[in-house]
Amino acid sequence: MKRLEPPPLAMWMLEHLSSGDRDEALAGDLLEVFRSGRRDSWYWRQVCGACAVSWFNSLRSRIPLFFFALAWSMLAPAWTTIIDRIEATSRLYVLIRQLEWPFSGLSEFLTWVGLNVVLLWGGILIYFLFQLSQTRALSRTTVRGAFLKAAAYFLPVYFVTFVLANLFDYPGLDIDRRTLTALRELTDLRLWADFLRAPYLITLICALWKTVPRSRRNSQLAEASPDESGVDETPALVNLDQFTLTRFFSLMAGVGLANAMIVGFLLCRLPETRPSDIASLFITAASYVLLGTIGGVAGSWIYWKSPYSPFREFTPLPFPLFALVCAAGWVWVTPMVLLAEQVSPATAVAAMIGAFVITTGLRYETYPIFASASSGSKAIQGREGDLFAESTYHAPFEPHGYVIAVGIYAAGAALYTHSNYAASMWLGLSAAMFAWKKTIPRSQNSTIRQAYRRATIRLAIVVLPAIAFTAWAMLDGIAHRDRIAAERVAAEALHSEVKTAAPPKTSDFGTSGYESLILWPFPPKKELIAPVPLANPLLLPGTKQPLILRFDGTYEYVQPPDKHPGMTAHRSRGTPLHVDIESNNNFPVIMDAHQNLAGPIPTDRCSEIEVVIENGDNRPGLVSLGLLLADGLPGHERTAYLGQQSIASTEPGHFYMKTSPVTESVRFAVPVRSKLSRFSEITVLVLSDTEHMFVAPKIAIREFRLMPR
Amino acid sequence: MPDRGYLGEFELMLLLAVTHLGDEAYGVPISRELERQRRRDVSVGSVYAALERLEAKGLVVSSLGDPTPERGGKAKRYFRITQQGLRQIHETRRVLTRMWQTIPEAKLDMQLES
Repeated sequence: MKRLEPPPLAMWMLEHLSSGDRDEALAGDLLEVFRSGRRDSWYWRQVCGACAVSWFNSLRSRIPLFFFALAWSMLAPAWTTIIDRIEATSRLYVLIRQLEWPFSGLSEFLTWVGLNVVLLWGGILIYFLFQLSQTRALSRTTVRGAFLKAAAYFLPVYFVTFVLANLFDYPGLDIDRRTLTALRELTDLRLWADFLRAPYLITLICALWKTVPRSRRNSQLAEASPDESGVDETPALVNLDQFTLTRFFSLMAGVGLANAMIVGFLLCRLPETRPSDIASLFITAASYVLLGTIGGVAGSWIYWKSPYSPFREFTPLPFPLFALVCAAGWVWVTPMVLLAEQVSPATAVAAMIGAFVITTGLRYETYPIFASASSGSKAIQGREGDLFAESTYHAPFEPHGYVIAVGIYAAGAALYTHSNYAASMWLGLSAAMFAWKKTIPRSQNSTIRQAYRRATIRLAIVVLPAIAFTAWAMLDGIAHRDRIAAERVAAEALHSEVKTAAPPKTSDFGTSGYESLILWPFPPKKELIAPVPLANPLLLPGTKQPLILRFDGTYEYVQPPDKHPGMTAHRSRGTPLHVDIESNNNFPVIMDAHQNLAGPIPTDRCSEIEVVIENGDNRPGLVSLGLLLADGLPGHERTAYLGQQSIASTEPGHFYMKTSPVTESVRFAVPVRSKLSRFSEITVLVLSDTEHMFVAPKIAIREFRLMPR
Repeated sequence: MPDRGYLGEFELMLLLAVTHLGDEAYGVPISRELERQRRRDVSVGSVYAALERLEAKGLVVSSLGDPTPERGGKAKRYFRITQQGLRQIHETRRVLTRMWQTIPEAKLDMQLES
């Protein structure tokens, strides 16, 4: 007698313990054979074999996933160290801890979970980008599911790991986490670091388990085109005009560039201390370059896939290829940002290289697309031309040559005036235009695989120079910052030593340049009114006449971060009208004029202060004056800032070239009620725009007119 | 151009079985054909695993048939060889034949006797 049903437990195993792809067909086949007269033992053997083969294949297809999860989870101890630092120093945590219980605890806990999930999501994002680069289709549900699973699985897995770690070595592994650094933790292979890695490894594998493509997809592809078995590497091309294509690729490359710059500005900072060795310097530089590139790729991907994108469905170029091509240019964004923060002319060089590399790559890979887009219109032109054959040669009109030349000249002018961003833009534009016009691929019939290979090689060639450039930018920035800090410390130390002694009238420091400068006006030919006589009748009640104070103070020129000239400042006699003072480095020049009064003046007796100046500056650009009053009391000095007023002749539309200095005045109202009851020091801050950032304006203070109230 | 990798023994047998069975090539007949030719038991799970490998290489394609009562309402999965699969079979046969022809009969007989 034939049995109709196989062992139930074996059927359950076959249903639940084997890969889902072939459950139905395999189960049906086994059942069919079993009903034809096979024994239970045969069925059991088949089920066990099917499960074993199924799991073997399933695990083998996920080997890349295991390696990726292992590599990414190596970052976990370093990330934990970063989280510790954020918890210790971030203002966000200070605010959270000020909340009442249980909100403070809950918020802190959620923030901690969120920071951990960020690392997981970063890994998942990179894994998906890698899969896309392998031209594997990913559904939105799969992607969303992986991100949600990572967020959901992490906490339970972390809790279990925590419990197991404590069971293994109660009350926990003895580690002083305050002494750890993120870079060292990357290679930390101690037990506690491995315990930290475990939950990330398990969570990543679980979250990405279902994202590995299954073989059923192959069969569906094969059904669509059985003869070629679904192997079609040609990207979907659509009939597009050149303008649309140019606009599209420019927008995508520009969006990526902007996002890479944003990431650079937000995340890529000079290290607090000089890197201990060359390896850590290069690791930091490489991570900065990677961050910038990821920012660029993510930004362009968002726009590429946006509902308004004309190529969301039918893209002229696979996005992974586009990202690979542009990444070769986006790797230069981070050094550009670092150099821009130092006001370095090398910013423009980085911009030029990046623009050239991006444009060359895009031109190379999109050449057939543009050629096919233009072939239609050229065919029409050719048919029309047949009617009227040309008899004379017309030289081709090439306006791009003029644009490139103008761009180079404009970049030179911008560099001369220290406008590095403008120079970067012009040089980048020129380089991009040159590359677009001069790049012609050797072979126009290459496959998509060859295009990927070319883009990868291009990226591999430029990434190391970009990292080296970034490292150099970091070293340069750190050295400059350290030098400024050391000079400031030295100046303050010197100042504290000679505080009791009389200050030197002159200084012999420096021969070709000075860190700061004090300019004394020439001795007056007439008797000065200042210092103010204490019993000045003009400030007595009932006085209507202004009190005029001839300026005989100092002009001070410093560079940030300094606010006052140090003891090594160069001292000289002269007036700003007749001396040229400009920065000989990448830091701007700050100018102010300082007047001490012999005695204090009550603020309630003065309604307005008019600053009379002599303006001999012939450099266009707005210059404003700010007025600061101080009571000069040592130890607890009080100040009052009266705001800033622009100088009329420097305003747009009023500027003109002056053959001799012109006299102008700027008025500042003195508030009746102020925390400053009297003042004995007047400081005029000369506030200039970018045109005067590196060159001090030729503006001298003639006098102050104090209007009685 | 697909990779010109040569087939393994089991894969070649499977392709030949699928070709021989034609429209009736699903798990049970394929396994029976292999058992008949090899004269030993075959794991149906291994047959499916190998067929999926061939499918991933584009040498066969599969499609689900209608469910039948004798199979407990489970559908059959029919396999069909592709043009590429046929080319691969011919290429493998050509290489094997050429290699066989380089070996003298006498040498083979001597090896068997020893």
